[in-house]
Amino acid sequence: MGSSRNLTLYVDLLSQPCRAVTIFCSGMIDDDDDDDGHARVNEIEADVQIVSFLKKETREPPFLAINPLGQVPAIDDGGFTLSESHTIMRYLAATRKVADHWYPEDLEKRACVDRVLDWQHGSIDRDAAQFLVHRELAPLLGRTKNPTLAAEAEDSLKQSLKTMETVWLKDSPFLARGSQPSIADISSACQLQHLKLLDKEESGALLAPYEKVKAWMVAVEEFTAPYFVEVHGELEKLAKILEERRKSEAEAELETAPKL
Amino acid sequence: MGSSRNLTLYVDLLSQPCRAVTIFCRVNEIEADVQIVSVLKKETREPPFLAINPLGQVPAIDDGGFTLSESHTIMRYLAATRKVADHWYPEDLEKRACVDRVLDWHFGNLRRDAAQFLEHRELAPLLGRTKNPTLAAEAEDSLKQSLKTMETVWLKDSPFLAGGSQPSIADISSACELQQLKLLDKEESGGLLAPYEKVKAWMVAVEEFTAPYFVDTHGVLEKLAKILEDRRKSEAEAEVETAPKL
Repeated sequence: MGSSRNLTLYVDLLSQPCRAVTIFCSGMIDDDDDDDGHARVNEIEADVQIVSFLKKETREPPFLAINPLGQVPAIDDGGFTLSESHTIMRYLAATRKVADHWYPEDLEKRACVDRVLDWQHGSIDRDAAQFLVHRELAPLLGRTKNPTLAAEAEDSLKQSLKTMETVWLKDSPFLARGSQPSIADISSACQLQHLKLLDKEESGALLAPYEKVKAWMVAVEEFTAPYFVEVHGELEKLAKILEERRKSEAEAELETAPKL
Repeated sequence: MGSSRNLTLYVDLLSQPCRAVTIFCRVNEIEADVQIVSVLKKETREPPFLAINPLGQVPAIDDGGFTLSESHTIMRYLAATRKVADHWYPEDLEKRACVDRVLDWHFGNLRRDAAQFLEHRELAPLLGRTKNPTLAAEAEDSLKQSLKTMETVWLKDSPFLAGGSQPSIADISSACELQQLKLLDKEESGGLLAPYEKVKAWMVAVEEFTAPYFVDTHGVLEKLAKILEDRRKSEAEAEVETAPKL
């Protein structure tokens, strides 16, 4: 155990939890053609293997040997395999002895981080995913948009943002009461970045009322610079493709609209 | 910190995560005042409780002034501060990671699926909502997938979910989640679990390991299950009576 093990990260950078783990590992993807490379984790190295969810590589035998659940992110740490991004970050924080603020030793401070990590599953993770699927991404996944589910998810997401604004960030620049970020901040920030796949005006309007949340996003990005932006490169590319598609569809609708 | 603090648990025993925390405390003989806070009566949304948890959710604890919510977080915290037996949340980092993994998996799988299935098959009217048969069907499929994962992955080589020979907090959490299915028609819940021999054996093992607290703590749920069963019978009889005579 410890820094002498060979660590491999299996990630798809279109996935929010994958980005969180990669950023935590201070991901620096080399400029290879295949995007595989080395990441430095607070001075610990990891091989980064890109496994594509959309290309169904997560469901193929080589990867299933690492995680029979067929989900990324996953790690292989010298033969010990693990999945679930929060679990991976807790495990790496402890085994690699990273700076305490990421996952504190103090039991009360640690509980504050755990609380936000757990809360996240049933709030922004679920809401942002449901909103994105039914507002935008369904066709990409071979599914049908359901406007009712989109509306419900939007309401729920606003409630979650309100909780961040008025509870987690009430007296603290970061989510778990520390003066520096924890793994809960990386995890939640990656979830919210996913909203970039929406129309810019819509995502802007969604976040507009939440000043503390917006300031916090900037703070997390700055603390983990330059990795936060780098690791979000794939997402930015997809966001641009979707933006252009929306424009084309809007133009096509204008052309086919009845002439007055 | 430690066992000298005054611990208060705020729970509604109709809630799966509340039962998990309660059973965990009882099995480990952790002294606590237990305050019942009712979700259905909206007590979780009232000022006295909101001072403990501004999110208005149970379970929550107040440990000598330190307040906390989220059942998995509470159990991790109490396991560490009360120094319970190691198997509940092991010190060994690999074993601990195996417990964390199941705890995290639980949210997006068993918890989400069981809750959605129960809501749209049975409980929606109770919560002032409308059943959606499509969402019920989707949740049922997803729930079967979660049960299959338990059967073929978590319980593949181990009597308990996180690979230990004794249960962890992940076992208590997931067992309470599955017990919630008792609110369904008995034949339906029986049918749902029927193919999963290891899951069924595991449920018995968890119940036995935490006896008598597991059954005791599920008393309130059993009462509600009976009320719903009686209601289903009355509705079925009423339908038969109003059916056209041949």
